[in-house]
Amino acid sequence: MPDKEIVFCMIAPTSEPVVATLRATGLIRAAATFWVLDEDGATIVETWPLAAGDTGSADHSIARAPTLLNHGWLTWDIEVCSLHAGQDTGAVEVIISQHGVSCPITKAQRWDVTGLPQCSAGSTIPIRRGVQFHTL
Amino acid sequence: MPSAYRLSLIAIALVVVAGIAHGQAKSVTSSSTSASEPISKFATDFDVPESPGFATLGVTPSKVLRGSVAKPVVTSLLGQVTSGGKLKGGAAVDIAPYFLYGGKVNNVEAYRANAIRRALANTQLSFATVQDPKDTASLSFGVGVRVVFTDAHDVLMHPGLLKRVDAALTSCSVVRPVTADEATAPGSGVGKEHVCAGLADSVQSAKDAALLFSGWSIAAGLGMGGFLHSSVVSSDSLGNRRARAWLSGGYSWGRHQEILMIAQLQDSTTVDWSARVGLGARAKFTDAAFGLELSYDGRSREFQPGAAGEWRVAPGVWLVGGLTTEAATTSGVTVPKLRLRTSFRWNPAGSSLQ
Repeated sequence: MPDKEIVFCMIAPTSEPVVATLRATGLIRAAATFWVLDEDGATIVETWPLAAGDTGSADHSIARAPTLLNHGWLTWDIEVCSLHAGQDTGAVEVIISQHGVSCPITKAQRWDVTGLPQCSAGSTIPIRRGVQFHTL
Repeated sequence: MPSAYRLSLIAIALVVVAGIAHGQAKSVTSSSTSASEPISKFATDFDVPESPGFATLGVTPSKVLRGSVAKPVVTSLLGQVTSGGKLKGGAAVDIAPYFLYGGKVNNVEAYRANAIRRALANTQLSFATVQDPKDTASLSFGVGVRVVFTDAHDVLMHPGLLKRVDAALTSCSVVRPVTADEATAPGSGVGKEHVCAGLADSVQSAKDAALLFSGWSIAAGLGMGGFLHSSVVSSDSLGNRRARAWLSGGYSWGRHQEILMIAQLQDSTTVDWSARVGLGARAKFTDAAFGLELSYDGRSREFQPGAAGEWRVAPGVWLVGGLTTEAATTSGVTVPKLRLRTSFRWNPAGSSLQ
Protein backbone atom coordinates (compact mmCIF):
# COMPACT_ATOMS: atom_id res chain seq x y z
CA MET A 1 0.00 0.00 0.00
CA PRO A 2 1.47 3.40 -0.95
CA ASP A 3 2.51 5.74 1.83
CA LYS A 4 0.30 8.58 2.91
CA GLU A 5 1.00 11.98 1.46
CA ILE A 6 0.89 14.48 4.28
CA VAL A 7 1.15 18.10 3.22
CA PHE A 8 2.50 20.33 5.97
CA CYS A 9 1.60 23.97 6.33
CA MET A 10 3.81 26.13 8.54
CA ILE A 11 2.16 28.84 10.57
CA ALA A 12 3.43 31.36 13.08
CA PRO A 13 2.19 30.99 16.67
CA THR A 14 0.98 34.57 16.82
CA SER A 15 -2.39 36.16 17.41
CA GLU A 16 -2.82 36.83 13.68
CA PRO A 17 -5.48 34.42 12.41
CA VAL A 18 -4.81 31.89 9.71
CA VAL A 19 -6.80 32.62 6.57
CA ALA A 20 -7.99 30.02 4.07
CA THR A 21 -8.61 31.30 0.56
CA LEU A 22 -10.45 29.41 -2.17
CA ARG A 23 -9.63 30.44 -5.72
CA ALA A 24 -11.15 29.29 -8.99
CA THR A 25 -10.07 30.36 -12.46
CA GLY A 26 -12.28 29.97 -15.50
CA LEU A 27 -16.01 30.02 -16.18
CA ILE A 28 -16.39 27.38 -13.52
CA ARG A 29 -18.13 27.29 -10.18
CA ALA A 30 -16.30 26.10 -7.08
CA ALA A 31 -17.78 25.97 -3.60
CA ALA A 32 -16.53 24.08 -0.59
CA THR A 33 -16.90 23.09 2.99
CA PHE A 34 -13.77 23.44 5.10
CA TRP A 35 -13.09 21.66 8.37
CA VAL A 36 -10.54 22.30 11.08
CA LEU A 37 -9.82 18.95 12.72
CA ASP A 38 -8.06 18.20 15.96
CA GLU A 39 -4.73 16.36 16.11
CA ASP A 40 -6.51 13.04 15.79
CA GLY A 41 -7.56 14.03 12.30
CA ALA A 42 -11.21 13.21 12.90
CA THR A 43 -12.69 15.47 15.58
CA ILE A 44 -14.27 18.54 14.03
CA VAL A 45 -13.23 21.75 15.73
CA GLU A 46 -14.59 24.24 13.25
CA THR A 47 -16.33 24.15 9.90
CA TRP A 48 -17.56 26.71 7.37
CA PRO A 49 -18.76 26.95 3.78
CA LEU A 50 -16.84 28.97 1.20
CA ALA A 51 -17.67 29.73 -2.42
CA ALA A 52 -15.26 31.28 -4.93
CA GLY A 53 -18.23 33.15 -6.42
CA ASP A 54 -18.27 35.51 -9.37
CA THR A 55 -14.83 36.96 -8.63
CA GLY A 56 -13.26 33.52 -8.37
CA SER A 57 -11.87 34.15 -4.90
CA ALA A 58 -13.14 34.11 -1.32
CA ASP A 59 -11.48 33.76 2.06
CA HIS A 60 -12.25 32.93 5.66
CA SER A 61 -10.32 33.52 8.85
CA ILE A 62 -10.00 30.48 11.06
CA ALA A 63 -11.42 31.30 14.48
CA ARG A 64 -9.11 29.02 16.43
CA ALA A 65 -5.92 30.68 17.60
CA PRO A 66 -2.83 29.65 15.57
CA THR A 67 -1.11 28.39 18.70
CA LEU A 68 -3.89 25.83 19.15
CA LEU A 69 -3.72 24.71 15.53
CA ASN A 70 -0.33 22.99 15.89
CA HIS A 71 -0.63 19.41 14.54
CA GLY A 72 -4.26 20.10 13.75
CA TRP A 73 -5.68 19.68 10.27
CA LEU A 74 -7.42 21.82 7.72
CA THR A 75 -9.39 19.71 5.25
CA TRP A 76 -11.84 20.57 2.51
CA ASP A 77 -14.27 19.20 -0.01
CA ILE A 78 -14.47 21.51 -3.03
CA GLU A 79 -17.22 20.76 -5.51
CA VAL A 80 -16.50 22.05 -9.02
CA CYS A 81 -18.56 22.25 -12.20
CA SER A 82 -18.55 24.25 -15.43
CA LEU A 83 -20.88 27.18 -15.95
CA HIS A 84 -20.44 27.40 -19.68
CA ALA A 85 -20.63 24.60 -22.19
CA GLY A 86 -17.75 26.17 -24.10
CA GLN A 87 -15.27 26.08 -21.23
CA ASP A 88 -14.93 22.92 -19.19
CA THR A 89 -11.47 23.52 -17.81
CA GLY A 90 -10.10 25.69 -15.06
CA ALA A 91 -7.91 25.80 -11.99
CA VAL A 92 -8.83 25.51 -8.33
CA GLU A 93 -6.51 26.48 -5.53
CA VAL A 94 -6.50 26.66 -1.75
CA ILE A 95 -4.12 29.22 -0.30
CA ILE A 96 -3.41 29.37 3.41
CA SER A 97 -2.01 32.64 4.66
CA GLN A 98 -1.20 34.60 7.75
CA HIS A 99 -0.30 38.29 7.99
CA GLY A 100 -1.33 38.47 4.32
CA VAL A 101 1.50 36.16 3.31
CA SER A 102 1.08 32.63 2.04
CA CYS A 103 2.23 30.09 4.59
CA PRO A 104 5.12 27.85 3.60
CA ILE A 105 3.63 24.60 2.41
CA THR A 106 5.26 21.38 1.29
CA LYS A 107 3.03 21.02 -1.76
CA ALA A 108 0.96 23.72 -3.43
CA GLN A 109 -2.72 22.94 -3.19
CA ARG A 110 -3.65 23.69 -6.78
CA TRP A 111 -5.50 21.56 -9.28
CA ASP A 112 -5.88 22.09 -13.01
CA VAL A 113 -9.22 20.50 -13.69
CA THR A 114 -10.35 19.38 -17.12
CA GLY A 115 -13.47 17.76 -18.48
CA LEU A 116 -15.66 19.39 -15.87
CA PRO A 117 -19.33 18.45 -16.02
CA GLN A 118 -21.89 21.15 -16.67
CA CYS A 119 -23.46 22.56 -13.52
CA SER A 120 -26.80 22.42 -15.35
CA ALA A 121 -26.40 18.66 -15.63
CA GLY A 122 -26.37 18.47 -11.85
CA SER A 123 -22.96 16.84 -11.62
CA THR A 124 -19.71 17.95 -10.04
CA ILE A 125 -16.15 16.82 -9.51
CA PRO A 126 -15.02 16.79 -5.87
CA ILE A 127 -11.59 17.75 -4.60
CA ARG A 128 -11.13 16.28 -1.13
CA ARG A 129 -7.81 17.13 0.42
CA GLY A 130 -6.18 18.78 3.41
CA VAL A 131 -3.04 19.91 5.18
CA GLN A 132 -1.58 19.52 8.65
CA PHE A 133 -0.53 22.64 10.53
CA HIS A 134 2.82 22.99 12.23
CA THR A 135 3.81 26.05 14.14
CA LEU A 136 7.25 27.47 13.48
CA MET B 1 -23.92 11.82 -58.19
CA PRO B 2 -27.55 12.99 -57.86
CA SER B 3 -27.79 16.39 -56.26
CA ALA B 4 -30.14 15.21 -53.54
CA TYR B 5 -27.55 12.69 -52.42
CA ARG B 6 -24.84 15.29 -52.62
CA LEU B 7 -26.83 17.67 -50.46
CA SER B 8 -27.57 14.93 -47.98
CA LEU B 9 -23.89 14.10 -47.77
CA ILE B 10 -23.06 17.74 -47.16
CA ALA B 11 -25.71 17.90 -44.44
CA ILE B 12 -24.37 14.75 -42.81
CA ALA B 13 -20.83 16.12 -43.04
CA LEU B 14 -21.92 19.32 -41.33
CA VAL B 15 -23.60 17.37 -38.56
CA VAL B 16 -20.47 15.26 -38.13
CA VAL B 17 -18.34 18.40 -38.05
CA ALA B 18 -20.60 19.77 -35.33
CA GLY B 19 -20.24 16.54 -33.42
CA ILE B 20 -16.48 16.52 -33.78
CA ALA B 21 -16.27 20.15 -32.79
CA HIS B 22 -18.29 19.45 -29.70
CA GLY B 23 -16.26 16.35 -29.07
CA GLN B 24 -13.08 18.40 -29.21
CA ALA B 25 -14.45 20.70 -26.59
CA LYS B 26 -15.29 17.72 -24.39
CA SER B 27 -12.36 15.49 -25.29
CA VAL B 28 -10.85 15.75 -21.86
CA THR B 29 -13.88 14.37 -20.10
CA SER B 30 -12.85 10.74 -20.55
CA SER B 31 -12.97 9.09 -17.18
CA SER B 32 -14.97 11.76 -15.46
CA THR B 33 -18.03 11.58 -17.70
CA SER B 34 -20.52 9.07 -16.53
CA ALA B 35 -22.19 6.70 -18.94
CA SER B 36 -25.62 7.87 -17.93
CA GLU B 37 -25.48 11.62 -18.14
CA PRO B 38 -28.67 13.39 -17.13
CA ILE B 39 -30.72 14.32 -20.15
CA SER B 40 -30.86 17.93 -18.97
CA LYS B 41 -27.20 18.16 -19.91
CA PHE B 42 -28.27 18.25 -23.51
CA ALA B 43 -31.24 20.54 -23.07
CA THR B 44 -31.10 23.77 -24.99
CA ASP B 45 -32.68 27.01 -23.93
CA PHE B 46 -34.91 29.41 -25.73
CA ASP B 47 -33.39 32.02 -27.94
CA VAL B 48 -31.12 29.85 -30.01
CA PRO B 49 -30.17 32.48 -32.59
CA GLU B 50 -30.70 32.02 -36.31
CA SER B 51 -27.76 30.70 -38.30
CA PRO B 52 -25.66 33.61 -39.65
CA GLY B 53 -24.92 31.45 -42.72
CA PHE B 54 -28.61 31.10 -43.47
CA ALA B 55 -29.07 34.81 -42.73
CA THR B 56 -26.43 35.58 -45.34
CA LEU B 57 -28.40 33.56 -47.88
CA GLY B 58 -31.65 35.15 -46.75
CA VAL B 59 -33.28 31.82 -45.95
CA THR B 60 -33.91 32.04 -42.21
CA PRO B 61 -37.50 31.16 -41.26
CA SER B 62 -37.79 34.64 -39.68
CA LYS B 63 -36.50 37.73 -41.42
CA VAL B 64 -36.35 39.72 -38.21
CA LEU B 65 -33.43 38.09 -36.43
CA ARG B 66 -32.64 37.76 -32.75
CA GLY B 67 -29.86 39.35 -30.77
CA SER B 68 -29.44 36.57 -28.21
CA VAL B 69 -26.12 35.13 -27.10
CA ALA B 70 -24.30 32.45 -29.07
CA LYS B 71 -24.37 28.72 -28.37
CA PRO B 72 -21.13 26.74 -28.68
CA VAL B 73 -22.23 24.56 -31.61
CA VAL B 74 -25.54 24.58 -33.46
CA THR B 75 -26.49 22.56 -36.51
CA SER B 76 -29.49 23.49 -38.64
CA LEU B 77 -31.27 21.67 -41.43
CA LEU B 78 -33.49 23.75 -43.66
CA GLY B 79 -36.48 22.87 -45.78
CA GLN B 80 -38.00 25.55 -47.97
CA VAL B 81 -41.11 25.56 -50.12
CA THR B 82 -42.20 28.43 -52.34
CA SER B 83 -45.77 28.64 -53.54
CA GLY B 84 -45.80 26.87 -56.89
CA GLY B 85 -42.20 25.80 -56.46
CA LYS B 86 -40.14 22.83 -55.40
CA LEU B 87 -38.88 21.83 -52.01
CA LYS B 88 -35.27 22.76 -51.46
CA GLY B 89 -33.05 21.85 -48.59
CA GLY B 90 -30.07 23.29 -46.83
CA ALA B 91 -27.76 22.76 -43.92
CA ALA B 92 -25.72 25.00 -41.66
CA VAL B 93 -23.31 24.61 -38.81
CA ASP B 94 -22.60 27.45 -36.41
CA ILE B 95 -19.70 27.35 -34.00
CA ALA B 96 -18.46 29.68 -31.29
CA PRO B 97 -14.76 29.57 -32.14
CA TYR B 98 -13.48 31.44 -29.09
CA PHE B 99 -13.95 28.58 -26.65
CA LEU B 100 -13.58 25.86 -29.26
CA TYR B 101 -10.04 26.99 -30.00
CA GLY B 102 -8.79 27.58 -26.50
CA GLY B 103 -10.14 31.00 -25.56
CA LYS B 104 -10.72 31.45 -21.85
CA VAL B 105 -12.49 33.74 -19.45
CA ASN B 106 -10.94 34.01 -16.01
CA ASN B 107 -14.16 34.26 -14.03
CA VAL B 108 -17.72 35.52 -14.19
CA GLU B 109 -16.69 38.99 -13.03
CA ALA B 110 -14.16 39.21 -15.87
CA TYR B 111 -16.88 38.12 -18.32
CA ARG B 112 -19.03 41.00 -17.10
CA ALA B 113 -16.28 43.59 -17.01
CA ASN B 114 -14.55 42.89 -20.32
CA ALA B 115 -16.90 43.73 -23.17
CA ILE B 116 -14.42 42.70 -25.85
CA ARG B 117 -13.83 39.26 -24.36
CA ARG B 118 -17.56 38.84 -23.85
CA ALA B 119 -18.16 39.71 -27.50
CA LEU B 120 -15.47 37.22 -28.53
CA ALA B 121 -17.04 34.54 -26.34
CA ASN B 122 -20.36 35.21 -28.04
CA THR B 123 -19.11 35.30 -31.61
CA GLN B 124 -20.50 32.71 -33.98
CA LEU B 125 -18.95 31.55 -37.22
CA SER B 126 -21.33 29.86 -39.59
CA PHE B 127 -21.20 27.85 -42.80
CA ALA B 128 -24.36 27.14 -44.73
CA THR B 129 -25.38 25.60 -48.03
CA VAL B 130 -28.73 25.62 -49.75
CA GLN B 131 -29.78 23.61 -52.75
CA ASP B 132 -30.74 25.62 -55.83
CA PRO B 133 -34.36 24.91 -56.86
CA LYS B 134 -33.72 25.34 -60.58
CA ASP B 135 -30.31 23.77 -60.92
CA THR B 136 -30.35 20.98 -58.38
CA ALA B 137 -26.76 20.06 -59.13
CA SER B 138 -25.62 23.43 -57.82
CA LEU B 139 -25.49 24.96 -54.38
CA SER B 140 -25.71 28.36 -52.78
CA PHE B 141 -23.31 28.80 -49.92
CA GLY B 142 -23.01 31.36 -47.18
CA VAL B 143 -20.34 32.14 -44.63
CA GLY B 144 -21.38 34.41 -41.80
CA VAL B 145 -20.10 35.80 -38.58
CA ARG B 146 -22.26 37.16 -35.78
CA VAL B 147 -21.18 39.08 -32.71
CA VAL B 148 -23.38 39.64 -29.67
CA PHE B 149 -22.84 42.81 -27.69
CA THR B 150 -25.40 42.43 -24.97
CA ASP B 151 -28.22 40.14 -23.90
CA ALA B 152 -30.38 40.94 -20.90
CA HIS B 153 -31.12 37.24 -20.45
CA ASP B 154 -27.48 36.21 -20.20
CA VAL B 155 -27.41 34.73 -16.69
CA LEU B 156 -23.69 35.43 -16.35
CA MET B 157 -24.42 39.16 -16.53
CA HIS B 158 -26.50 39.36 -13.37
CA PRO B 159 -24.59 39.51 -10.08
CA GLY B 160 -26.04 37.37 -7.34
CA LEU B 161 -28.03 34.97 -9.50
CA LEU B 162 -25.40 32.27 -9.22
CA LYS B 163 -25.29 32.33 -5.42
CA ARG B 164 -27.99 29.68 -5.46
CA VAL B 165 -25.60 27.48 -7.46
CA ASP B 166 -22.91 28.06 -4.83
CA ALA B 167 -25.39 27.10 -2.10
CA ALA B 168 -26.21 23.84 -3.89
CA LEU B 169 -22.51 23.01 -4.32
CA THR B 170 -21.82 23.77 -0.68
CA SER B 171 -24.69 21.52 0.37
CA CYS B 172 -23.09 18.69 -1.58
CA SER B 173 -19.69 19.26 -0.01
CA VAL B 174 -20.87 19.24 3.57
CA VAL B 175 -22.33 15.75 3.42
CA ARG B 176 -19.20 13.82 4.45
CA PRO B 177 -16.33 15.51 6.33
CA VAL B 178 -12.84 14.92 4.98
CA THR B 179 -10.79 13.22 7.67
CA ALA B 180 -7.00 13.29 7.89
CA ASP B 181 -6.88 9.73 6.55
CA GLU B 182 -8.72 10.73 3.40
CA ALA B 183 -6.83 14.01 3.03
CA THR B 184 -3.52 12.16 2.99
CA ALA B 185 -4.54 9.26 0.78
CA PRO B 186 -2.32 8.78 -2.29
CA GLY B 187 -3.48 10.58 -5.39
CA SER B 188 -4.43 14.09 -6.34
CA GLY B 189 -7.59 14.28 -4.27
CA VAL B 190 -9.68 14.90 -7.38
CA GLY B 191 -12.59 12.47 -7.29
CA LYS B 192 -14.93 11.12 -9.90
CA GLU B 193 -17.87 13.00 -11.30
CA HIS B 194 -20.94 12.53 -9.18
CA VAL B 195 -24.48 13.81 -9.00
CA CYS B 196 -24.98 16.77 -6.68
CA ALA B 197 -28.56 16.87 -5.44
CA GLY B 198 -30.26 20.19 -6.10
CA LEU B 199 -27.54 21.54 -8.38
CA ALA B 200 -29.43 21.20 -11.66
CA ASP B 201 -32.48 22.82 -10.08
CA SER B 202 -30.39 25.70 -8.79
CA VAL B 203 -29.00 26.36 -12.27
CA GLN B 204 -32.48 26.19 -13.76
CA SER B 205 -33.66 28.59 -11.08
CA ALA B 206 -30.86 31.03 -11.95
CA LYS B 207 -31.76 30.78 -15.65
CA ASP B 208 -35.42 31.36 -14.89
CA ALA B 209 -34.54 34.38 -12.79
CA ALA B 210 -32.39 35.79 -15.62
CA LEU B 211 -35.34 35.50 -17.99
CA LEU B 212 -37.32 37.84 -15.78
CA PHE B 213 -34.91 40.72 -16.41
CA SER B 214 -36.07 43.30 -18.88
CA GLY B 215 -33.56 44.68 -21.33
CA TRP B 216 -31.92 44.65 -24.70
CA SER B 217 -30.17 42.06 -26.76
CA ILE B 218 -28.07 43.37 -29.62
CA ALA B 219 -26.07 41.50 -32.24
CA ALA B 220 -24.35 42.37 -35.50
CA GLY B 221 -23.71 40.04 -38.39
CA LEU B 222 -21.77 40.01 -41.61
CA GLY B 223 -21.79 37.40 -44.28
CA MET B 224 -20.76 36.58 -47.82
CA GLY B 225 -22.02 33.91 -50.12
CA GLY B 226 -22.49 32.86 -53.66
CA PHE B 227 -23.56 30.21 -56.04
CA LEU B 228 -21.43 27.21 -56.87
CA HIS B 229 -22.22 25.82 -60.31
CA SER B 230 -22.25 22.03 -60.20
CA SER B 231 -21.23 22.32 -56.55
CA VAL B 232 -17.61 22.65 -57.60
CA VAL B 233 -15.46 24.94 -55.48
CA SER B 234 -13.42 27.04 -57.91
CA SER B 235 -13.30 30.68 -58.96
CA ASP B 236 -14.76 29.74 -62.36
CA SER B 237 -17.81 28.08 -60.87
CA LEU B 238 -18.56 30.88 -58.41
CA GLY B 239 -21.45 33.13 -59.36
CA ASN B 240 -24.10 35.43 -57.98
CA ARG B 241 -21.92 36.64 -55.16
CA ARG B 242 -23.76 38.33 -52.36
CA ALA B 243 -23.07 40.04 -49.09
CA ARG B 244 -25.17 41.00 -46.10
CA ALA B 245 -24.59 43.03 -43.00
CA TRP B 246 -27.13 43.38 -40.28
CA LEU B 247 -27.80 44.75 -36.86
CA SER B 248 -30.47 42.88 -34.97
CA GLY B 249 -31.80 43.26 -31.50
CA GLY B 250 -34.71 42.94 -29.22
CA TYR B 251 -36.17 44.26 -26.03
CA SER B 252 -37.57 41.70 -23.61
CA TRP B 253 -39.76 42.39 -20.67
CA GLY B 254 -40.91 39.67 -18.42
CA ARG B 255 -40.28 36.09 -19.27
CA HIS B 256 -42.50 35.77 -22.30
CA GLN B 257 -42.52 38.97 -24.34
CA GLU B 258 -39.99 40.35 -26.76
CA ILE B 259 -39.99 42.99 -29.48
CA LEU B 260 -37.46 42.35 -32.22
CA MET B 261 -35.97 44.65 -34.81
CA ILE B 262 -33.50 44.44 -37.63
CA ALA B 263 -31.69 46.73 -40.05
CA GLN B 264 -29.98 44.94 -42.88
CA LEU B 265 -27.95 45.87 -45.95
CA GLN B 266 -27.65 43.43 -48.80
CA ASP B 267 -25.74 43.40 -52.02
CA SER B 268 -25.41 40.97 -54.90
CA THR B 269 -23.85 40.85 -58.33
CA THR B 270 -27.27 41.40 -59.90
CA VAL B 271 -28.64 44.14 -57.64
CA ASP B 272 -26.82 46.98 -55.89
CA TRP B 273 -26.89 47.55 -52.18
CA SER B 274 -30.38 47.71 -50.74
CA ALA B 275 -31.77 47.89 -47.24
CA ARG B 276 -34.27 45.96 -45.22
CA VAL B 277 -35.77 47.02 -41.93
CA GLY B 278 -38.16 45.03 -39.85
CA LEU B 279 -40.02 44.77 -36.60
CA GLY B 280 -41.34 41.69 -34.87
CA ALA B 281 -42.97 40.54 -31.68
CA ARG B 282 -42.51 37.17 -30.02
CA ALA B 283 -44.16 35.29 -27.22
CA LYS B 284 -41.84 32.73 -25.64
CA PHE B 285 -42.72 29.72 -23.56
CA THR B 286 -40.71 26.82 -22.21
CA ASP B 287 -41.24 24.52 -25.17
CA ALA B 288 -42.52 26.88 -27.84
CA ALA B 289 -42.30 30.41 -29.19
CA PHE B 290 -44.54 32.28 -31.59
CA GLY B 291 -43.88 35.48 -33.48
CA LEU B 292 -45.24 37.94 -35.99
CA GLU B 293 -43.13 40.26 -38.08
CA LEU B 294 -43.30 42.95 -40.70
CA SER B 295 -40.32 44.01 -42.76
CA TYR B 296 -39.79 46.49 -45.54
CA ASP B 297 -37.63 45.26 -48.38
CA GLY B 298 -35.90 48.15 -50.12
CA ARG B 299 -35.09 46.03 -53.16
CA SER B 300 -38.70 45.18 -54.04
CA ARG B 301 -40.10 48.23 -52.20
CA GLU B 302 -42.59 45.98 -50.47
CA PHE B 303 -43.79 45.41 -46.97
CA GLN B 304 -43.49 41.71 -46.23
CA PRO B 305 -45.45 40.27 -43.33
CA GLY B 306 -44.53 36.97 -41.75
CA ALA B 307 -45.20 34.60 -38.90
CA ALA B 308 -42.99 32.05 -37.20
CA GLY B 309 -43.29 29.32 -34.62
CA GLU B 310 -40.75 27.21 -32.75
CA TRP B 311 -41.33 23.98 -30.90
CA ARG B 312 -38.97 21.95 -28.76
CA VAL B 313 -39.39 18.47 -30.20
CA ALA B 314 -36.63 16.73 -28.25
CA PRO B 315 -33.98 17.80 -25.76
CA GLY B 316 -31.75 20.21 -27.63
CA VAL B 317 -33.79 20.05 -30.84
CA TRP B 318 -36.17 22.73 -32.04
CA LEU B 319 -38.46 22.66 -35.04
CA VAL B 320 -38.80 26.14 -36.50
CA GLY B 321 -41.37 27.14 -39.09
CA GLY B 322 -41.72 30.51 -40.79
CA LEU B 323 -44.21 31.75 -43.33
CA THR B 324 -43.27 34.93 -45.21
CA THR B 325 -43.91 36.68 -48.47
CA GLU B 326 -41.03 37.48 -50.75
CA ALA B 327 -40.73 39.19 -54.08
CA ALA B 328 -39.95 36.79 -56.91
CA THR B 329 -39.26 37.76 -60.49
CA THR B 330 -40.73 35.48 -63.12
CA SER B 331 -40.54 36.36 -66.82
CA GLY B 332 -39.63 39.93 -65.95
CA VAL B 333 -42.60 40.39 -63.65
CA THR B 334 -42.04 40.77 -59.91
CA VAL B 335 -44.77 39.26 -57.79
CA PRO B 336 -44.99 38.49 -54.09
CA LYS B 337 -44.76 34.78 -53.32
CA LEU B 338 -45.58 32.94 -50.17
CA ARG B 339 -42.64 31.05 -48.75
CA LEU B 340 -42.64 28.40 -46.03
CA ARG B 341 -39.34 27.66 -44.39
CA THR B 342 -38.81 25.02 -41.79
CA SER B 343 -35.67 24.31 -39.87
CA PHE B 344 -34.44 21.81 -37.32
CA ARG B 345 -31.98 23.38 -34.93
CA TRP B 346 -29.81 21.06 -32.90
CA ASN B 347 -27.73 22.47 -30.10
CA PRO B 348 -25.71 19.45 -28.90
CA ALA B 349 -23.85 21.26 -26.18
CA GLY B 350 -27.09 22.67 -24.80
CA SER B 351 -25.43 25.91 -23.70
CA SER B 352 -26.88 25.60 -20.29
CA LEU B 353 -26.58 29.08 -19.02
CA GLN B 354 -27.39 31.05 -22.12
